[in-house]
Amino acid sequence: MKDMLWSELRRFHRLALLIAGMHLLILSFLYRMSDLLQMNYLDCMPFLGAYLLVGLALAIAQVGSYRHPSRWLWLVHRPLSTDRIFLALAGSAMMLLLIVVVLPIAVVVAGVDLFTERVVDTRHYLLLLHVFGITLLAWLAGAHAVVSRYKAAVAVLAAPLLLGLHLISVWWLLLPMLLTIAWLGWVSMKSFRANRGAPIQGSITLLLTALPLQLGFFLLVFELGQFLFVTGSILAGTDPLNTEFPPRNGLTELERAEPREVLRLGLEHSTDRRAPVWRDELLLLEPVRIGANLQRFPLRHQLSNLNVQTQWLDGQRNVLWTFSHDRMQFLGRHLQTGAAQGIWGAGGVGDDRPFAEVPVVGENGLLMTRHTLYVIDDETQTQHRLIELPQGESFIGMPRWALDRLLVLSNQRLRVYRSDRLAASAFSPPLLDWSVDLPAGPDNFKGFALAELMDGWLLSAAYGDGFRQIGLTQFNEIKMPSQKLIFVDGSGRATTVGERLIFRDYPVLYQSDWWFSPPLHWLVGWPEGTLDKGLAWPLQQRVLAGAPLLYPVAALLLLLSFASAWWWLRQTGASLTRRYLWLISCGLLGVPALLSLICLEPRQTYRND
Amino acid sequence: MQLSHHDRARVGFVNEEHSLPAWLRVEEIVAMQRRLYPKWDDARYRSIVSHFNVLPEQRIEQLSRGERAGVNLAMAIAQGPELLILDEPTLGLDVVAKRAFLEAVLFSMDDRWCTLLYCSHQMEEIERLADNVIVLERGELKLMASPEALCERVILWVAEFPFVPPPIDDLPGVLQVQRIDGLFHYLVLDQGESFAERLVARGARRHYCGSVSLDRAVSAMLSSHHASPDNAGTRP
Repeated sequence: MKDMLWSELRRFHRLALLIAGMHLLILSFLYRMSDLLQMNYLDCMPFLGAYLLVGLALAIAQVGSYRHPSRWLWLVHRPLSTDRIFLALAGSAMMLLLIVVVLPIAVVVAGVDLFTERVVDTRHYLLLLHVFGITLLAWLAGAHAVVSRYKAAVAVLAAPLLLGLHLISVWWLLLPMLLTIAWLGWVSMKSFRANRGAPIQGSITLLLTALPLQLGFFLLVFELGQFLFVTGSILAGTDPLNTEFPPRNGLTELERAEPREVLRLGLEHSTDRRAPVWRDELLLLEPVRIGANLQRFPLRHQLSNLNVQTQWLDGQRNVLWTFSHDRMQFLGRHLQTGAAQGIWGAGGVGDDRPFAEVPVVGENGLLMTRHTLYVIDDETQTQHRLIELPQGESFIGMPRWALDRLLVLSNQRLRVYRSDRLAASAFSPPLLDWSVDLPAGPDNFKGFALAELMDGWLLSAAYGDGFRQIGLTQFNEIKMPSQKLIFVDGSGRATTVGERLIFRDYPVLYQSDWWFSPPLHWLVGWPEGTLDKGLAWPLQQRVLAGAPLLYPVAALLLLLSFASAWWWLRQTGASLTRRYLWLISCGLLGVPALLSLICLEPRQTYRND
Repeated sequence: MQLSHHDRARVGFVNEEHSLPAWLRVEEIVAMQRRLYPKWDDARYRSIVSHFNVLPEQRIEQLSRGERAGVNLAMAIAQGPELLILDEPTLGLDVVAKRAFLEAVLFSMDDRWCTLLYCSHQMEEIERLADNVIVLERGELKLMASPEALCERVILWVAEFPFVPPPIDDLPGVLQVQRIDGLFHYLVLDQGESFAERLVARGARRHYCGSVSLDRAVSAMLSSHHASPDNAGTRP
């Protein structure tokens, strides 16, 4: 086994060293262009994709070279168990991936840590482990796919990524990562057998192989279906996002409209007697919009930064303050000299008290955590608490100054504050002017458009479709998009003055994947609901979709899958127990289970001897 | 049935492609095999590989196909197998390499208690090597016998029919019929002198019989189920 491991290492060592060198050069170059360690997760995605491809490519080159029957025979025909042969290949692949992927990153991280004053936390070092885990998962999926009967078996990669790739604490992430590596490792190890075309032996191994494949098919087939639908719509010229004028009274029209237009559209359907006056008044006003754009808050030791600012520049002193997750304080660095400029704790410069949560840096010197909003005083280099939300409330949008007010959106209401003109300090807490409840909670909420009228405020609250923007999960509560027009009078009393349903523009089957396989839909959302991801409004797991329209479609697909599975199994040599397992699986999980059956259960007759 | 890794240690295997890791040197791959097989016989390896012009420090990718075949064979035999399977090992080898390979096989198998399963379509190789010939067709065992016995069982009968030849169903054991220069050549399995009487009874003016080579005997057995031009409507 050791011989084989070294043999495989020798096979790729030159190429591995070459790629590692190139990788290091690229990282060093990019380090000069930007602060690699403070990149947000969206900027990290190309790197992640590249590392996944490296893992897959190595599996295809290494294990794929043994796919030919005579080479496969040479590989497995030796006095070693196939498990040990697999472990030898996996061991060499791990060492190669360490050289190619992990070592250059480690050099850059350690170099930044040792030779600069930039912030390097424990999470950056642990990131190395996770990057290694991700590339190893790709290798395992690739190795499994190339020795399987169908290349589509690479879909098993979807499940481990779904479980093991989350923007949570790098410490907590170790658990799902190790579990998924063990899971996929087992599946790949058991796919190494002399007769690769034979069905998988053992019910446990079959279940462990089938489930990730089913999850993969669930996600990939639905995504492919959506892609084909959108492509077809674009070709036909009917895609709402691809037309110069979106469909009338549709969601796209509302989302594209300027705030004034949003209010005007709402007023068109208002029966309030003041509506014509407001419509005229609107022409003279500059309405603004505030949206539910803060879907999650940063967590301590998070795998990668969110798409929010966690550093700010003190332009006067030329100091960049970057948040350190280890110290829970900002660390200053002079941009010209690169010298350390001290710490910024919970009370400002030099205060050693750590922040309780990782703060988000907003516009105009605002600093916020889940419940508290601060403002930074550049002169005194301190921070002042502006707003503390009540228990149970948290921000779901970045507060902004507009219309001479501070607009704050929480998961329960829109709060509008005005400056306390009598206060001695310019950084004293503002006074609550008025507030309005979110008409139907934060789920599917798009945002408010508001304008200050002569006699009060006019607001439009918009709700969208069932899309959820986090990860691969979607809401299963499909609602018709709607718009509600609210008038807030001078005393802060809110009344509804108009309401309308909006066309959703896309068919409901396009908006939710629940109907494709209800149990797998639940399973895909399970990590989202279970792991602490700092979500502004956590996903509520529901077994049944909120749209009864989807029920018959889901039932029909389950029935079709069951019937197709029965037909397929007739021409296989599967045992009775195995047939029952498949039939139950297809009857419960639907089309993805049927596809996994086709992949895993050869149709020709075989003997189980 | 799946072989355990203990079983696999008892079986040597050489295939037609002589798949060996191209990136390794001969000495490295030999060292690998030596550590892997407890019954490894270094002297035997050296004696077999000496039939080929192979240097230990050469990389596998630098070897010719014949040299690779030699290394492969030497390693398979040196591991001390109880069963050695050679699957079309000389396919694609030039005449010299093929000869060297067969000599190495003959030389190495002389004094060993080892069953050799030699799969080949090259009948001259089989004739040189085989104690027993197994004819498989479509996964079915058609025949097992020594080459001499097989040749004795298949007889060539040549007959001249002045008028219409007899229907093939009237002649038992016919594997193949060919009409050459007006004479009917019957390759017949397991038929004695009584076949001559049948030929005479069916109107043969004259007839005689002869022996066939192993190549022709096996070919007749296999071609009895294969498509071929229907000579004079006499195909069995």
